[in-house]
Amino acid sequence: MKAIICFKKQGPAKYISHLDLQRTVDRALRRSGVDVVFSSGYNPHIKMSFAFALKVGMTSESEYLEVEVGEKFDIAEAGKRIKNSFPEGLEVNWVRLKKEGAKKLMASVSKAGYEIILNNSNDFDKVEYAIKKILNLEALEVIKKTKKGLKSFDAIPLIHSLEFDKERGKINAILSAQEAGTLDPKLLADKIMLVAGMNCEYTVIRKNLYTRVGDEIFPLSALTK
Amino acid sequence: MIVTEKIEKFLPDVEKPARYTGGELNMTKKDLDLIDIRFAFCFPDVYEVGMSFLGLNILYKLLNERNDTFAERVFSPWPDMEDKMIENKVPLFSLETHSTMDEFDILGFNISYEMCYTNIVRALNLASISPLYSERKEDDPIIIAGGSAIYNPEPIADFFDAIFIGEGEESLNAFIDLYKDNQKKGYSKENFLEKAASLDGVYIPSFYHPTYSKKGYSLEKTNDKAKEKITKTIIEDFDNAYFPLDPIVPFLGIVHDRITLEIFRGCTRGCRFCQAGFTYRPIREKKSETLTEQAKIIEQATGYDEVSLCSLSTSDYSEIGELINGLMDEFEDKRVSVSLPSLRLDTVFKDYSKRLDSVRKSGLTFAPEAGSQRLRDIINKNITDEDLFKTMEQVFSKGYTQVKLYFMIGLPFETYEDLDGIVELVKEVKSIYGIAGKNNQRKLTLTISASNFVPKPFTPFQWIAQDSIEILTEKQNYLKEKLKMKGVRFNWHDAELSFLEAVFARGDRRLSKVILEAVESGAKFDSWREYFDFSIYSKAFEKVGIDPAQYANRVFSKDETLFWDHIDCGVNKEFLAGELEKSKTGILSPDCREICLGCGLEEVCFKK
Repeated sequence: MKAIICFKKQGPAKYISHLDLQRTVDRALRRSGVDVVFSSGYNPHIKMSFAFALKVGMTSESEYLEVEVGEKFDIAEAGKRIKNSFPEGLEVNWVRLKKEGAKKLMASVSKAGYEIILNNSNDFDKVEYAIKKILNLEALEVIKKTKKGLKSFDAIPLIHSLEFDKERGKINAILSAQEAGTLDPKLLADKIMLVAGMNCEYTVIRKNLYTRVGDEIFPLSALTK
Repeated sequence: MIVTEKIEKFLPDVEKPARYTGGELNMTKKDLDLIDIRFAFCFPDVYEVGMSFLGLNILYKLLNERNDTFAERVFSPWPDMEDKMIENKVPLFSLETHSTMDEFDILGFNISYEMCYTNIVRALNLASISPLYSERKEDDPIIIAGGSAIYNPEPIADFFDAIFIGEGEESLNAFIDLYKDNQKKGYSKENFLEKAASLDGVYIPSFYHPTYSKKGYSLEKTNDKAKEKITKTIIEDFDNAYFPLDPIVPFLGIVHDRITLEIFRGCTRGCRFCQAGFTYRPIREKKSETLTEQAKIIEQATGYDEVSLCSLSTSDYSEIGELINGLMDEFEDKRVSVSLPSLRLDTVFKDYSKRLDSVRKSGLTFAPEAGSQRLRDIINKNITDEDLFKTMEQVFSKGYTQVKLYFMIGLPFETYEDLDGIVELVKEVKSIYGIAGKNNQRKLTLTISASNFVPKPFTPFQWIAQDSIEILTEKQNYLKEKLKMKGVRFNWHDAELSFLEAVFARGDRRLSKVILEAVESGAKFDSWREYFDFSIYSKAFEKVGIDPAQYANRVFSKDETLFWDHIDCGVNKEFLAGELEKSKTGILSPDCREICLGCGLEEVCFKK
């Protein structure tokens, strides 16, 4: 049996690296005293895995991890305990049991939703124009840094949806993640700025992670009972 | 909060940003409007090292027990962060509230090794506060220091308003009471320091004036409130001593990322090179039930998966069996492991180790220190080749495949025959593995680590000259050549670094100019290989006009006044001199649990 924990990552906690996050959550689960399953061997650790790593420094409203739980795991009680034991900045949204037979969490991720907040700018017409233009493009070349050097690729197939909330000055983007290639929201945001001819600071927040059934996408909560 | 906004812009670009954010589990938070005194614990090294340091964790939580005081933490920013801070005009700041140093009443520096001295100056520079007390203004914070490497405070005495000798738990509280009273009454800094001078273990450097002449060195009192001798403070009831039960749990992996239980203070072995062995006296133990109880509470408050026992010689703890059994009973089901550092060769495999066998089979570390019986007798390391071989046989037959052996080179009266002794020992250990370890799945990995002897104050070898850098390097090269064997890895310490350690360990106040000069030329994080640059120091010594060899490579005469003679660490000088005499003919001193040797601490020492 597995449980899925959905939590936020914000404030100073956004600077916790992925490796350190595993350690931090391991300790939080130990403190909670809920019945979780340990690996065997000389260095036992809690059997858990995260859905999709988040870049150090990025805030997220919904991170997911799955953890193998034991017989004594009572979801109502455990949920409360886990919420209380997670440290500041890692606020638990919910704890639910995972559907039997569902794929591994990590293998279920297909899209990631982001909010790009424009700071100190109200030149929103330009942003609106740039987004429209990008959505009408057949191809959008972006360049990313990899260990082997710069690599160019087409971002259009990796954009699931892209909208501009003109009233709030926020861009909402759902981008391909894990399953069919990953698009870094910052690469897209930089491109939007370039097309708009703007040089404005922005903050990216991860809003949610999605799984795909056919052509439809659902938040990962769809994998829970 | 301006700091928070400013660093937010460049934190994503520095290495390990979690070093600078604070906000960890169990961090203390207080309402600044409700407190009287703001105290900053400054650790002159990077976060991961500072947070691993038990003393800092104890004092941080201890001071925060006070309703009138808020103690925060400050660490040296790693050079990438320091550059960004300078570039963006961000001064040194605390982790708890991101406050700058001018907002604090007292800055307390922890000094746990000599090679952090330049980082003290860098920290104050980054705070735009003069490192010299003589140049500081009335409204600058009071800057104090304490820690295990401050028994000879002279090289850094010019930097501090007050220095704490010994275990600061009680004297620090008294100091803060006094400060609070002084603030209320609006008295001057000078007036406050005069009163503080009467507190146990508190040394006010500005109340003394050194003179250096052909006749020798002397330190004159310049204020009649100054004490003749500053006697280290000792916590007598160690079992009931304050110990934090909710230590901060860093987000970041740190050096000692686990529950650390301090099982006892002091050591009864009396190895003649070991400063801690003398300055931490007398021996004081905690009861095993106290420790088990503390571990239980800490585990619940932190979620750590490992408990480590901390002391100078773990296997000398009189209730070690009960303690390990108690901890294993408590933690086995919770998958919390128990680890034992610093084991002695003659006591490792007593009954209790049987339970540990079921837990881990990683590496083991032992410290024979010297290669021959003659030299081991000189340094009073009471172990024999037999002890080592017997232990190795047991260790290997239990399945261990990685062993690390610590040696020290450049020890007093050492010859090349003693170095050959190390080589012979290594050969023997290898052949023992061939028999006792023949069924093991892996080949033996034997790591031989050689540090360089550094003469330290308050040890019998405090008068001894250190081998020159050239001689130490020759000895290292000799061993390097001879230890080119299959399965043997040889590590050695930087001779130049050990030389500087000796200079500062036995130095005087004139060295503060060298430290300032070195910082001007870019010295930082000297205990980190990637930043240590000996040439900076060579030039600094030259510029200031000081010959460093007179501190490191000179035999100090029994008749001369030592630069640390005004400090009393409890063990008297005659005893140390006697131990030095005994060493010359290789006469051993027994463990002082067996026979009291009269070191000077008889009155506070534990009674059998």
